[in-house]
Amino acid sequence: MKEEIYSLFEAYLQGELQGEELESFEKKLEKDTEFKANFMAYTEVEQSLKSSMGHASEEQALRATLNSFRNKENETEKGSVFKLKSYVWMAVAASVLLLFSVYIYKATDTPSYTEYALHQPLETGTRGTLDSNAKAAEKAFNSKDYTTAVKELSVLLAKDRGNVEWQLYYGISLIEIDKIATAVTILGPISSGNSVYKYTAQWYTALGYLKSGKLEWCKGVLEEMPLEAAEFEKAQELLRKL
Amino acid sequence: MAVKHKDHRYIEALVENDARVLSELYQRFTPKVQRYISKNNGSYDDAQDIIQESLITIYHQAVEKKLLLTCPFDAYFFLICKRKWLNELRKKGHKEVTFLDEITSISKLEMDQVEDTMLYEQKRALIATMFLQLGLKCQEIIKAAFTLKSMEKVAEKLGITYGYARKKKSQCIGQLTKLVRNTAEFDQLKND
Repeated sequence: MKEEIYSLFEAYLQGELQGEELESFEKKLEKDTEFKANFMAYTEVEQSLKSSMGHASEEQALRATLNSFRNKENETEKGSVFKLKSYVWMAVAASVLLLFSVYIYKATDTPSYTEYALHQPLETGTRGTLDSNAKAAEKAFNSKDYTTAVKELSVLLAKDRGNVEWQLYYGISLIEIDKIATAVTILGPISSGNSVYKYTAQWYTALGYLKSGKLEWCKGVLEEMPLEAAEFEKAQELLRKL
Repeated sequence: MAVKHKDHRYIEALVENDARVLSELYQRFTPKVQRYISKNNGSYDDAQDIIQESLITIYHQAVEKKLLLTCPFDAYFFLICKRKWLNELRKKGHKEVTFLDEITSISKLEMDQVEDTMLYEQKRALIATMFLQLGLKCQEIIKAAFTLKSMEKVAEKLGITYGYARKKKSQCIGQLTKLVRNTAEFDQLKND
């Protein structure tokens, strides 16, 4: 008899009770406190199981994402590249500053962003499989329609978050439409990572600061550009002008 | 009336596994936790574990209980990590704990939200522990019931009839409910 009660709970939760059965169940819930306490506990347990077991694969995916940040920290922690750590910090601090500071652009003889913002075209086609968003992102970016590019790239990133190339072009497009604080938070992890886009991301971070008139931040990032980076010479040139 | 705080977007990012916003979350909020744990008998890895487990707890609370963040994420997250770390230290047998804190003032709103999450976590942990005390058959049927799409599939996989599978599922959850209710801990966890 005692066990039957659980079948009844289950039937109620599944919405299978009707008419008289439903009425008497709900009446019992109202009047019988032990019945109610038992039912509440059953529901609690059922929901908890559903959440942990029913979302196990989502939880795994989330853990994978969280682990990727953890390893990144580890690399910077272990390596001798202390400057990278301070650089990430600076990027964070700057992005916060940018969010709250008034945007003042000094039209003096400082070098302009457009002078340096010569982007490599986005070529997703080389990857073989082409989805319509990739095609649209490529077209938008290469024709300087950065608002559309941001939209398409964010769709692509939703499907494939780990794609560093898309992250990079997303960051560049954000700079173009003056969402520099957001751009910096995207480019930061790329430049502290180990992909081939590492220094390009660092370079664009500097350009983001240049565009927003944060010249000191810009200089700071440029000074940390190492000799082996393809962007080293450009960085030195821009530094001289600043 | 509870009002959604703008930092609720971090909760959404956990639910949606949004790497971009989560990366921001890591950069903004985890260094403080890292420093706190380092100063209080913990290693780098200890801190990273606590950070990850706290975020997973928040994730589950968001999915299961539709957690609505009504206070800034900063203090809320820090306090959850801190509590978890103090629990860890107690488990490891540290009696004296240094309290080096970076949080100076905590509002009632933040405190309530932290309490809520910690309570949720305790219940979740209790249910998970008691689950392991169930017989293997029950564990198997519960796992199948919540990971497969329908009870028909469960019956098929376990080679039993549909009717029996349904009956067994409710009985096993019932057994678990009984185990959980019989613990002293359950009484202390008030119902929400």
